Amino acid sequence: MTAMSAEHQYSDNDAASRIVLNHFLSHREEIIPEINRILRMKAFENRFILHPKRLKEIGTEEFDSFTDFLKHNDEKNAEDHGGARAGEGLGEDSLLSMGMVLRDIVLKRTGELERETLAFGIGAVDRYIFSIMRGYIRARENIILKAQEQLRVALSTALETQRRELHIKNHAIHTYINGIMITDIEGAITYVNPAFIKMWKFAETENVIGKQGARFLGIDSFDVLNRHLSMNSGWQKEYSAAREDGSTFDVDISVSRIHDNDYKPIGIMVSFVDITGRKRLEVQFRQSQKMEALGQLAGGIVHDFNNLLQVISGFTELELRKIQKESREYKNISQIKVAADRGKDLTAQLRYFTRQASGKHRPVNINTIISETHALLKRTFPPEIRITLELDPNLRMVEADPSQISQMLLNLCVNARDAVLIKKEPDDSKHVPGEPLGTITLYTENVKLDLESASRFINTQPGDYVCLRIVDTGSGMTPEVKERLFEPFFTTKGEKSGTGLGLAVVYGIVQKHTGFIDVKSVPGEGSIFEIYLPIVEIDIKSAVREDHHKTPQGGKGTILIVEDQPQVRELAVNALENSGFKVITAKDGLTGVEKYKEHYPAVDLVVLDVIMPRMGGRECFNKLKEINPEIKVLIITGYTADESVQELLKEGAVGLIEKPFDLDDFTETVRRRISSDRTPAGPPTSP
Amino acid sequence: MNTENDISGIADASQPNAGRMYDFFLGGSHNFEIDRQAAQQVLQYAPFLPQFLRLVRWFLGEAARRLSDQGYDKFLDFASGLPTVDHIHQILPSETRVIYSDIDPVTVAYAQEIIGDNPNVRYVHCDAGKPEDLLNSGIIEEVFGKDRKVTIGFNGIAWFLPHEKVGGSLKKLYEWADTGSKLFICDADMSEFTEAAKKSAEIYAKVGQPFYPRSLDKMRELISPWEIDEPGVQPLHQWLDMMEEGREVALQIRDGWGVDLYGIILKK
Repeated sequence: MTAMSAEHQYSDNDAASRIVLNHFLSHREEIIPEINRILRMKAFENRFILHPKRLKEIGTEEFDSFTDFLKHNDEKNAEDHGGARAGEGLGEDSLLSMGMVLRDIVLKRTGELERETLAFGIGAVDRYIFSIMRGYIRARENIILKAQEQLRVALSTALETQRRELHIKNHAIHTYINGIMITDIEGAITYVNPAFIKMWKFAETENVIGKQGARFLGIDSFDVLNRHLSMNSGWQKEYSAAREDGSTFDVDISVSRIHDNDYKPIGIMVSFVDITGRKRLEVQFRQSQKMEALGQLAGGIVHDFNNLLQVISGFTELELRKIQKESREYKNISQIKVAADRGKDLTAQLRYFTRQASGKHRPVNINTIISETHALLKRTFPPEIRITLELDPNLRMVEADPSQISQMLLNLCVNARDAVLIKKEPDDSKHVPGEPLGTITLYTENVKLDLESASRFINTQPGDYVCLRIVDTGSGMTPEVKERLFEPFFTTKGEKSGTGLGLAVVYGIVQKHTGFIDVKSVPGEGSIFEIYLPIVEIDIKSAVREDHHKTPQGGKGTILIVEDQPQVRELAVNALENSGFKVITAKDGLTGVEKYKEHYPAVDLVVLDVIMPRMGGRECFNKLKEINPEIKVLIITGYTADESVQELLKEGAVGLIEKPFDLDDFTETVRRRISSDRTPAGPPTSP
Repeated sequence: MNTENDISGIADASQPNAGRMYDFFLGGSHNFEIDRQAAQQVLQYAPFLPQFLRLVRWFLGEAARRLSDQGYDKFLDFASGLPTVDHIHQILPSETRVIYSDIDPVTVAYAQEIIGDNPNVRYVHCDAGKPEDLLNSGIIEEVFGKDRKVTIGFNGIAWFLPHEKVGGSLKKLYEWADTGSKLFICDADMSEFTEAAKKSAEIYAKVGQPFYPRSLDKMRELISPWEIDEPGVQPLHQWLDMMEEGREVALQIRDGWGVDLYGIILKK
């Protein structure tokens, strides 16, 4: 019904309208409770947003709304009213039931009136209910549409979040540094990440998808694996994996099951970690530990051995001074001296290995040392061995002891020479005269080690290094030989030609220079020794070697010798007394302090051992300084690299004599120290 | 109304979701066919569930109004659910400060958009079983200032939490709140859980919302040291002054599930 026609009807039925309206108004107090009763009955039909206590108010409002409609016949207003009720959460049932109540009232209370009035009343109720329902439904539609739109927005937001998170997870798996393989429950590969492709050296992912995954796990079939996974949370193992090109690598695999929402297994996921590098580091670590242990062992032997050799060598020297050079006794005792001196050479080499050898480090260019050594090698090596240099003219400086580096080079080259000569022997008949037997090439270059490169070597920091590479075409080494390469006294050359100390010395020197060695070798093809030494940026003044005065001169003054080894003590006493010094002795630090107290200030110099029973050299030194802060103390030790020795020098010891020592050098050093001003020794020196 | 591990189950239209089923039971439109199908299954065992949930929801409004009338103007609400027009900030004076929370991130995002930039209202992510996450956040001081005499809503969530979580949460809230604070809680005495109730619970468990039925005595134990405030433990229809229709629904619920719904206001 349109508004125009309703208005027309209303004007025709003005009287009927007034009658119905008055009737409703006059029965207000009866009608409102009736509406409320209906609304209460339908309370649970309303939307939850409509609180039940609000219903009482709604009854009154509905009565007023209908009487207002009777007065003004405003369908638009009734529509808006219906819309408001929808927004408030009033149920459709409640509205329709309320319409029924109004209709009943018209029927029951206006039935006695004229038919025309009755018809008008029923029509008015219907038009009212129709209008509010129209507004109500329209509003409900809007509410539903709005809710759906809100839900759509919420879903879209959530899906976007999920999509983003899924993308992150996918990306994480895809870019994971370790290999990832996913298979279905039958073991057919459904996904591999790029790290997997790289690790297994496949050209592209397509070469793997659909293939059976078992072979990548080092197993024959998935059945056993599936049985294991049905009883365990996962499976892990390390094995040596073989790629299709035949190369191998060590891999650590971790396998876990993938389940669907009902926890039904639908496949597996495998993580592959290439542990080749880790294994190599483990070998290096074991090697390093072994070398450290050997070093400590050798260090102890060197100390004791030095003392013995010092006694043998020193006393034979003293005896030789008393004997005619042409006599048989002189020759015999000379043999003892020669043997003792050879022993000293051995211990000197062992000191390199144990890093006890002192050195004078200064910035040097390795190329210079190589060139000098090259000249020596060319003179001494067989002419059939070609020695070539490939030196980087822009090589950076390293802080090194040139003599030790030279020693290291010499040992490596001798080793390479022997490897070439060993290889030559079986094929000697094939050798073409004039052609070289083999080559030794020395390369140098600047190398920058990044984190990944440095991590290939144990205890190695990333940074700039100078790399010295010695490549020979000799016999090469087996892995077993390579493993023991740097052990002292390990040799493959036989007793005649090798002491087994050459590469041990190299090892010790490189360690002393905070460098590291990498060795590659293939039996029958040759070896590559790479020595990495850290570069130095600052210019460090080189230590100045003290002048040596070989000519023994007469001595004057009183010397206190504090030394626990009786033979060394006696030797020193002999040497000094023979040179004219007055000598007092003490067998340990405690006695030394007592003796010094007793004879001070007559004592001109104290010769002090470092490692002694009762009171060591360090404590003794401090006690002596308490007595006389200007005291001159000359350190005598076989452990020049020892920390306490370095500290003694820093704290004012006037010099250092390394055991075993030459007697003439010893007396000369004592003489010079007595006559010089009391100044700290500076860098450790040999006599 | 979601488990913590889901990103947002409410946004997954391929699986029925407890939150959307809840909306359907309440006559809302934030649900899908798959939710309605699952809801219909529950209705087979619990035809009274729409009325049950309406009572729970009406109690929230009732308690909030009563406490507002007592002068409380700071409300902290847990498991607030999908935002609707009967939310606390809409039925109480506009100056009332309200912090809503829910475990479902989409619900939170959705609510934040609807609430807009109302300075007195916040809607944040929080698990009702771990209220400390919210209590220790800066949002509390931002909205409530230093005042800790507040009203806390813990409505219709306890049966979805294990005993230790309910006890733990209420204790933490007690320790955090100032003396004079109130907490309203609605739960159900489920000491005589029926087979129909168990069947319904199974369906809810399948959609990731397991029930943790407990007796009223157990709840009295868990709410300690909070004290029960006037008018004491009352059936929900009594709180709502729906003595006729409400009682009838309460009886249906008792017959069907062996459950008595009740509401309590607690005080510190």
